[in-house]
Amino acid sequence: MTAVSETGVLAVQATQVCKSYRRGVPVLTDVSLDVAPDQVLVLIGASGSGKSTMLRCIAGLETIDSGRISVLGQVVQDVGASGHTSRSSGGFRKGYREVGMVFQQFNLFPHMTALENITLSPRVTRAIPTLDARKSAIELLASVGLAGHETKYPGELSGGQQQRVAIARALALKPKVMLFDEVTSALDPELVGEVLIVMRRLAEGGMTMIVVTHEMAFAREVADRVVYMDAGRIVEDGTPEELFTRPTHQRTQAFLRRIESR
Amino acid sequence: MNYKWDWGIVFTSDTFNPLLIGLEFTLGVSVICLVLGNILGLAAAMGRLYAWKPLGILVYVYVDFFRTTPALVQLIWIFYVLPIVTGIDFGPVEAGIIALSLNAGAFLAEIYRGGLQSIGAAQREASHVLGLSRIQTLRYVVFPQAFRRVLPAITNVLISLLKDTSLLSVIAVSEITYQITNRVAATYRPLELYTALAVVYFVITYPISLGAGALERRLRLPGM
Ligand SMILES: Nc1ncnc2c1ncn2[C@@H]1O[C@H](COP(=O)(O)OP(=O)(O)OP(=O)(O)O)[C@@H](O)[C@H]1O
Ligand SMILES: [Mg+2]
Repeated sequence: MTAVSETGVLAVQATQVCKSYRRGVPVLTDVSLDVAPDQVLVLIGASGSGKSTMLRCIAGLETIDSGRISVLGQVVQDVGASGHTSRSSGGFRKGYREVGMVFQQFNLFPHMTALENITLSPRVTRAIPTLDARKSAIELLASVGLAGHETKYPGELSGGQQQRVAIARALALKPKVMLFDEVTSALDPELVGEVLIVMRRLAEGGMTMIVVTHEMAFAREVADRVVYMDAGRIVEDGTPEELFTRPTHQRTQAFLRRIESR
Repeated sequence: MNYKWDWGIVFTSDTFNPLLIGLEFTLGVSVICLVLGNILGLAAAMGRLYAWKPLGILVYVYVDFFRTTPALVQLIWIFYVLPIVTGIDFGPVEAGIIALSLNAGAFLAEIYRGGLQSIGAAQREASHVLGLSRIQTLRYVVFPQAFRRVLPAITNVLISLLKDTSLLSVIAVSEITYQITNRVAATYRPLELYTALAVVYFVITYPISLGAGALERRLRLPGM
């Protein structure tokens, strides 16, 4: 499942990533993960298994203790055994520009309208003229089904609408890789669908996605690949078909039984 | 009570003219201290939150010292003692401005610090993955939200500051309390004159409270 695109560049390449928050308590242990362009990877695992931490490392929200992470061939973190970060590579940090992330709690800016949330970063970090930024933001809002909500503040939107604004906000920077961390977990059940539809369309449009979710139906139908993590390690890695119908590890089987019975 | 009130004393040019001069001092000193106090408070808050540790400790000492000693004592100390210690001579107005700015700055520092800290990590993380620098995050994300939260507290400091300018009368700054006290000495009409003084303070302070309330309503976010 480590199919490489024609250009030979992986969308995300994590190599032997180790991470602990407090000394001695490993959260990620030797995690290696290659994600090909256009791939939709669903990351599952019990609470505390390190799924969020893995996404946060790829997004640059956490520094790793050792290992290496590249995005589209650009090294974003490279920590040798000595614990020193190599910054020699010109790609350091630049790769982060290609990564968008959406959070469980939306994390919209409450003092800005939907439109302002989306245009802020293009305007201030990419120097895109305000009018152009607004124009694309309006299109983006329409594409997530929120035409006409431009001037609403997050407090005036439902959870599902807020999460769709958050997706549009991330997309405004034209990322090549999108990370989703349990983006439907904070939503009322009847609002989950509208967010999943947006994600499904994004997947169909060829976006590379790493999705942490408990929505097994989504994983089954949309994912190209499912990875199961347990206690900071990747335990199982395969197609949805392989993972859901014939999981090889006992832990995976037990986890899937727990999830299905919910 | 058979005190014979004589309100006429308030409405004479001998009271009015000094009062107008006094108002200039009271308002002028207040505005200067407000500006200086805010700059100081903001710098102190940032120093404590984001700067090099020893600088943070220095800020901590300053803030706590000025919050736990009376403004009057600070003022007198700065006026009488500081020139001797530093060898720099300054007049009562300068001393007053220094003392009240430092005092307001200490309270504002704590207010700003609380406001900045109240904007949680989630907002910073969202900014970070959107590629905003730390400064951009502060400017566009943290600050506007923190300001909304601290506005009522800042209003209180501003009102206290305006009232505290009356302390400057003890070092003979010609603000309104000093002017009225002089008039009292000349006319022996403390009841009328101090009542009038209280009314003047109310009249200049109350609009601030109204204005701040209006600003708060304007900045209130829909749906929050
Ligand atoms: N900021 C932090 N400081 C200390 N420990 C942390 C921190 N964040 C996470 N952890 C710990 O790291 C481990 C992995 O956490 P992580 O959030 O990555 O798990 P997860 O798989 O996303 O779980 P969940 O399904 O509950 O979201 C947990 O034991 C957690 O307690
Ligand atoms: Mg998580």
